[in-house]
Amino acid sequence: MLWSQNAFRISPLKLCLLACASFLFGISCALPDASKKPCHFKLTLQNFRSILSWTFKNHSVEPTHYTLQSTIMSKNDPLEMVEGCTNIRRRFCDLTDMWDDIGETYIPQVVAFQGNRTLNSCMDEIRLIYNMSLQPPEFEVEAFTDRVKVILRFPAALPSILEELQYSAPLVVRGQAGKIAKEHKLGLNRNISGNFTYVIDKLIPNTNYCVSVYFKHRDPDVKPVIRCAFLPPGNQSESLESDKAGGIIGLFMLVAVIVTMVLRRTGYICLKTDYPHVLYFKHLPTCTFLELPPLEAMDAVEVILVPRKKKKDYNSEEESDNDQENIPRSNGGGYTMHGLVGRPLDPASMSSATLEDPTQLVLEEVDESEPEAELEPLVAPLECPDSGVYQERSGAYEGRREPPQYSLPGEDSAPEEPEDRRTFNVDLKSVCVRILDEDPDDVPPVLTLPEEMVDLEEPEDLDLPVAFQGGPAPPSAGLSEVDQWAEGVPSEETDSCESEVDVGDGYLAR
Amino acid sequence: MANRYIFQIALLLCITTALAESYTLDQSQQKSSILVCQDLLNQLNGSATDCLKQRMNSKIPEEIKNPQLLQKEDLVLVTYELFQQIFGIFSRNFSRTSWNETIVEKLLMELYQQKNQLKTTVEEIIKETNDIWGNKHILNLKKYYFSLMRYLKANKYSSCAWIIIKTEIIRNFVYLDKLISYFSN
Repeated sequence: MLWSQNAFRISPLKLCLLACASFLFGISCALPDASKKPCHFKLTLQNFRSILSWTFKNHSVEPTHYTLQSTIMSKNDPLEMVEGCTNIRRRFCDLTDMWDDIGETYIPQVVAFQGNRTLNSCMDEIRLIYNMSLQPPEFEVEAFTDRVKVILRFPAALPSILEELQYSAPLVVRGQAGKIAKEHKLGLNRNISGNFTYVIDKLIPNTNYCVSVYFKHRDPDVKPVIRCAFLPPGNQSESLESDKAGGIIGLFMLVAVIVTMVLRRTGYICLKTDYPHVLYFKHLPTCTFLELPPLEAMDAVEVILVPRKKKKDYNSEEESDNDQENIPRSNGGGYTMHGLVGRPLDPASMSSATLEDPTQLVLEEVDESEPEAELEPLVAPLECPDSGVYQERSGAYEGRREPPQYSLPGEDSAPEEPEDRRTFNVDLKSVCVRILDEDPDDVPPVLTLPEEMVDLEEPEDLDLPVAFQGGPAPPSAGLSEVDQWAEGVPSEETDSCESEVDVGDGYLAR
Repeated sequence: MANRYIFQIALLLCITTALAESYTLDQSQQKSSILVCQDLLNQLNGSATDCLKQRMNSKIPEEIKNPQLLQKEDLVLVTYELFQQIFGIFSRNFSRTSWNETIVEKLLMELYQQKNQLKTTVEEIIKETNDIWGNKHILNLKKYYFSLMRYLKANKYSSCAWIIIKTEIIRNFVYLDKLISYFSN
């Protein structure tokens, strides 16, 4: 009974103790296995270096030195001594170059010694991505009016683990002004070394801007360092500099404008476009340029050889004279010695010739005895002497010199010239006309101009001798204004008067 | 004839681009799912330091460790295959461990959801390529996970064998997270 009472009394106590013990045991089972370990490891990424530190829980005996060994879970390799971390007095070791696989599970073992005696050993498993404490790097902030420079100091050689971390835990620069925050992700590669400057621009002056740099990791325990800087307002020195720059630019632009105006005034640039009206070719019809204007005014002269017919009624002297006259005379200078007979055309043709082509000239070798009867309508007004004149130019145009093709009215094609008729184009400027009065006995070709139409003393009265006057051809439909301007176009009659020069020996030089 | 080829190429490009864009939208979800799986695996107790003698020589395919070896389209196939194989591993007997079954069920549920979300995309890729079984990356993955299952079976699904496998799967998720981050960047 007593036992039972004691048992009853004890049993609840025992049960309570048992329950508490089991409860405590259950809790201890739920705790991480690290609680059972005699030491505690901590892996920290500090200033871009992986530092493994450890602390032993049993402080009864203080170790004098430590030795670190390590292995990995993915391979069945034994523990190996960590280079540089054997028999060390410090309680940490730099494993940056050894632990570089971010997905690997590393197994470190540290052995504590006191002299030659091993005090304790401790082993744990560490996964870099989960167990590494990513401490924010040190940085500096330089504030400007509207921007902030964040200066990071990287080691000379960036650890490979940082390159791996940028996928799982990228380095972030977080800027905050008031309640507005923005994150800037930094891309890291192995080329980064030394001072690295990141500029956050387009900020509002005269505000307080806070910057923090950290690895964006899910570990909430790491509190990033926040550095704030006041963005100064636009100070006076900067405004003075901007004023100076603006003044220099303005002065330069003023000089440029002045130089441009001077150059324009002097005509070096921007030539004036107020040309004479005739030089505005864009207003002229295109057909104006279809036919080339003659470069020099020429007169077409047709010389018709009319062989003298011997008449039975004439005496022998006259026949002999006529025989002599039949022989064309020529001098050494190449001038024809045929008598030039200005012959008025019939009124119709004359008028048309005068109107259409005043340069037409009919020179006819006629029979002296029958001046009137032998005047045959041999020549019709020339339709287009321009072409013939143009082809008869000397010098550069000799290569394509062709006989002028004259056509009679009503004929489509140029008629073949009769044997007794030859056609010349004579530049009247250089022709010499012999005056018939000096040698009445000789029977050279004479100028038989009708008295009512021709007055040699008054050339201005000449109608037909418009061609005779030898001046530049009057403007025809085929001549362009430019050509006329080039020639000067003086008065034809005046020219004819002035151009006739008596060179003696009965010749008039035109 | 040439027009037909041009049309087929254009259609393939459009589908591939659409798949890539649609997958880009799901990458954030994939990353968050990976983090969930990693947390669940970390909750499964058991110290690896007690099982050092039973370690295996892991041969994770280089395709998982090095994103440069993969195309973006391969990432979909690799991710799907990874979820499917891990689901198959943790569907096996783990009764000899002291793991919380609820945690394992949550893990299986997360794996199944992710696998189903990728299933449609993977089927479209298979229709286009008709050569998923010839994909060397998938073949390497299958070989790797087959070796893990064989290890489990050889060690009779012991606690240490499961701890070794758990450590290896955690490692897989770390690399997968890196893969997705690489392509999302």
